[in-house]
Amino acid sequence: MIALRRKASKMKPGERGVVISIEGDLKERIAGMGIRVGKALEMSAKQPAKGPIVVLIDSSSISLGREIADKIVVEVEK
Amino acid sequence: MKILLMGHPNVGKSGLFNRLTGAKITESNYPGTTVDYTQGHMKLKGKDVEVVDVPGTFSLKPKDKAEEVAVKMFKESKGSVTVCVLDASKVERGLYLTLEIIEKGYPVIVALNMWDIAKDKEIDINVRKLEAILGVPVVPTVAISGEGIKEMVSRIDETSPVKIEKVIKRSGGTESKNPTIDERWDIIDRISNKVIEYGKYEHTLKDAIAELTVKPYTGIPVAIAVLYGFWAFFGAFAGFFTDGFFVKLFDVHWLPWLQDNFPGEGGWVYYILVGDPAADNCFEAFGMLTSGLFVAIGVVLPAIIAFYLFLIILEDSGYLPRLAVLIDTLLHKIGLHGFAIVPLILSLGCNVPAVTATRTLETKKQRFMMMVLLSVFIPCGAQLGIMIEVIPDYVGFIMFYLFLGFFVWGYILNKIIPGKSPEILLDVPPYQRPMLRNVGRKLWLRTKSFFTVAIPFVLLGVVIVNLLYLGGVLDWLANIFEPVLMGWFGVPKETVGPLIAAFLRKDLAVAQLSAIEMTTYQLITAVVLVSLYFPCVATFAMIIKEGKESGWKGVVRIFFGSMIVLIVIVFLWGGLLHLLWILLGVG
Repeated sequence: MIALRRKASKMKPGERGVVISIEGDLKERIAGMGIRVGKALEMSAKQPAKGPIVVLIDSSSISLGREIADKIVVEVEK
Repeated sequence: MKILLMGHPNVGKSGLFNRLTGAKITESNYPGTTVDYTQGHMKLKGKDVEVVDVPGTFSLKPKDKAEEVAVKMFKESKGSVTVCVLDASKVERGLYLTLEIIEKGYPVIVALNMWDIAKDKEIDINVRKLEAILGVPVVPTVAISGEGIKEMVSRIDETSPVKIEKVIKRSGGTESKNPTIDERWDIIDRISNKVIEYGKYEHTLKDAIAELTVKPYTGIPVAIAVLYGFWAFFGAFAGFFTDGFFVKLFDVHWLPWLQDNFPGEGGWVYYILVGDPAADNCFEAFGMLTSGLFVAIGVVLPAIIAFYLFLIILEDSGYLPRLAVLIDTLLHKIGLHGFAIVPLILSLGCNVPAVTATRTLETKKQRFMMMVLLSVFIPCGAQLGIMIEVIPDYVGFIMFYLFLGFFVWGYILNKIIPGKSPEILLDVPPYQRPMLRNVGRKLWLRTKSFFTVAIPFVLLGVVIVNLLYLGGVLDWLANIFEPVLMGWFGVPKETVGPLIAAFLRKDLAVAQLSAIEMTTYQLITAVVLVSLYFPCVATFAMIIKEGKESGWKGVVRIFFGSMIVLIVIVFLWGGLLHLLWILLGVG
């Protein structure tokens, strides 16, 4: 299995990965929602025209703006 | 003694609150249903205790106004018994807030709510073990059915503050008593490993629908269909009752009967209560008992019921957050974000609760923009009901012009108002089947509040306008404003009456407009003006109240800010329509 690091915003729908790092203040802002380092995350939907993404984390769906998702780095399973 | 209900948004705190206190506050399936706290009372071992339903928050670091209200309430109630309400199917992330609360030294009891859903998902939680590690009572509950509520109540007095060091130790770790974010999660991981077992998760039909309605290529067509369905249902339902029943009742029976039997024709009492003795329908008569009652009960009531029936089903099913995700791309372009769709849709029912619902937006800039935009451009359900009745052929165009204004002016305001426009960060809840009991109760509550608030205002509005007319004030004002009305907007000076009525009720104003002689194009402009111009009194009062949250400076800022924006928009956007008619050669 080859692992690839990329921003959560660059994942393709259906891809899974594990959160590697979350930038700065965002970490605190999304901690309570269950998004954190070490968690598995699945890209569930991506809106066109730089719209928000929807990720599945622990069976919760969470929608994030594209720039927020830019600050989350994941290791994608291939 | 005070009991706080704290927890994430949309875990059923309000449902639990209703169970505990016998109150009837609104429950819906989207985060941010409760944006202000509600106080109630319950009996505990014969004593009266206060219970507070606090808006949902993900942590003690607030990220929007509603969370700020929650955290402020929490801090002000130091030492109160806190019921941490968790979604039993998402215990881990719920424990984050629970640990934060325990760290603050509050006595805690944990309610694992939506226990039934966790069972369906084959999530096995060892409640005794969790209780032993946390050192606080843990009770599985199902707020909607009442399961576990009695046990929870009976164990409230077992609570006492717990030292976080002990919790950490029992979880098998060595973190300090002020854990960092990552350490807090490590603690939670160890706890969850000990007490939770996840069964094999099966992808259900519900999950498939949930996914299809949020993916763009399937979700956007569905969203258009749902919104169109909403509009079609609204028109059909309201039309069925108004045209099929109330028009006949009022025009054929009630009006002639009043005209024949009401004493004192020609006198002012007759004029105020019955209106024009020669009128053959209730729009033109314009008496309190004729037009007033007809507008309120015959037209607006069916419209309100139709609107809320559909809205409540959207609210309870969990569709609204998905709509928010789909429309975010568009709304983010004007500095708002997708969740602004919730106040926007609420606003189509009534602007007043919509103003409060703007609290789920993160920044002052977003809230100010949304409050102004919705009070200026979004007609309420009462006004829509009347519009469909009196100008059915032009409602489409008027709505288009108003929504276009919403986006154009949103774009402009976004450029000139300082402040941040954060992106969407939204928890999308699973779908749920709306429960008849909840739908019925919410419909009843909203209809009731329409009856008690709107009907007196409609009737009062008729009386005031009639008195102004009898006193010659209307004619006087009409002559003063004629240059502006005729010259700038191209509408007859008689529209001054409806514009005054619009202060009180916009539905009434539109009804009045329909009785004034003018061209179709003038009528369209006039209806647009009624919508744009000054928000109704109730909405305005609510906007001022929201400003008050940040002191008298906030009130001044919001009052002058919104007045300036309002006046500019009314003149430019209203005048533009007149210009359009002139260019088309019909103005």
